[in-house]
Amino acid sequence: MFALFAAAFMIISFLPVEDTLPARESVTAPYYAKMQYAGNLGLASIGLGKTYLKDRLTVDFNYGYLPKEINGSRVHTLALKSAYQFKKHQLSIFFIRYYTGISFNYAITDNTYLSYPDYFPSDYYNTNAVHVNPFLGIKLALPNKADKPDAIEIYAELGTVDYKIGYAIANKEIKPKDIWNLCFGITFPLSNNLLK
Amino acid sequence: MKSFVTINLTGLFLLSFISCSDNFSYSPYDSDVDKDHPNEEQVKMISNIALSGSDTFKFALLSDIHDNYDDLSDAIKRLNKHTDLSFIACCGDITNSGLAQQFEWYVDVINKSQHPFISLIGNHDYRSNGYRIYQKVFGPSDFSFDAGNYKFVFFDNVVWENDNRSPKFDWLTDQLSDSELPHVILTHIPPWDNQMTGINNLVFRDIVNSENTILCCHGHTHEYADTCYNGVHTIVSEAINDREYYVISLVGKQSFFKRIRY
Repeated sequence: MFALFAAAFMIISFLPVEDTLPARESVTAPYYAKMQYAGNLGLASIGLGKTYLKDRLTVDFNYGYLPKEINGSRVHTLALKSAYQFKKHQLSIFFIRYYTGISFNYAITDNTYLSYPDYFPSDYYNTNAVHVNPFLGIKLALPNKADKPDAIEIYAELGTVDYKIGYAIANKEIKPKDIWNLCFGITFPLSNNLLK
Repeated sequence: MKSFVTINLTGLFLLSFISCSDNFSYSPYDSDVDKDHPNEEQVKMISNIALSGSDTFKFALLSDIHDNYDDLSDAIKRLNKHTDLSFIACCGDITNSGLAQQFEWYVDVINKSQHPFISLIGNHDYRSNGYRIYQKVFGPSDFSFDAGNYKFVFFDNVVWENDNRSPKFDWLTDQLSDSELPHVILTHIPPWDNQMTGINNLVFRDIVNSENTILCCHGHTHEYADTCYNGVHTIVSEAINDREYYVISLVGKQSFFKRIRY
């Protein structure tokens, strides 16, 4: 899957810029739904989001699930995810957006607590149910009519988890390449009126 | 120019994607580990060494790794220079929060050991799905083996992180009663710690005493101790970030040790 995605991206990257194409503003829908594979949100996740700052900022709320059958642990994840677009280009008939962001993930699984049971002394542990996940992303917007939001956007993100950054800084044994992981996803525009 | 910048940025992403070692992560809490280090396999190597050993049986003790992988790596480099060790025992808290990636990083480091390396579970290793992951990587959390003329008992005595359940004292009783060999007992939590107060402490003291045990080794407190508890010589290891380990010599029913700072 990764190889296919990489190959598709290579081909798209080398498509020439067609100056003769009619100028078109790429606009993410004000409200959108999304589905994601991996990325520390579970095997798969679904979410709803809204755009701000003329398309540059997105904020979405996600639920992800990892079934026990995959590798032995069942994990429910709730995540508030925000991304800021720092670059946008038109390539051929596509728009490519580059963005960075941060996700606050709350997980429900075994032995994982926001508040520990009474038999633990107070302040014995910090919560182990919340992690902060920074990420970099690239999004490919499929074309649509000039006055409509982009129909569908597919994205890939390179992310990590808060504790891995700290460990990599503190330990030479942990190489920078050891802390990153990938995810893929797709967003769908929603009607302006749907979430109002 | 725009297409050049775009291609460069996209290429940078692709390079990053290709170079990250663990392509997809479903959750920091999942039990997906692709490395193992079974204690049972390590024990087989101990037995081979112990058969050709002398009257003195030597092993090394260290504990409480948490997130200090460089300190562990340095300790192993030093320990590899000892030629007379039968094995190295880590007395628990091999991770900080029981996450699969933390177990994998630990295994990456201990794989550099030239001695058999035995890993006991600690309370931090129970957190999240850590107990399940520990079993995948190392095997059962209670285990024992004979080496030299001694029986070594690695006893999982984590209470709070184990749903406030008492340790498997019946198993420990069986281990101490089914062998005439002098026993060495390793637990992560010292019996006087607050996880082991009350009935757990009383039961432990009833089972483990100077008649059946010559030495107890613990971790957990991050404070070195050399004491006699319930009539048994007891050593508590510092955490690994204090950069010290212990070389313990067993001669007959006596135990001696050197505290080595590095």
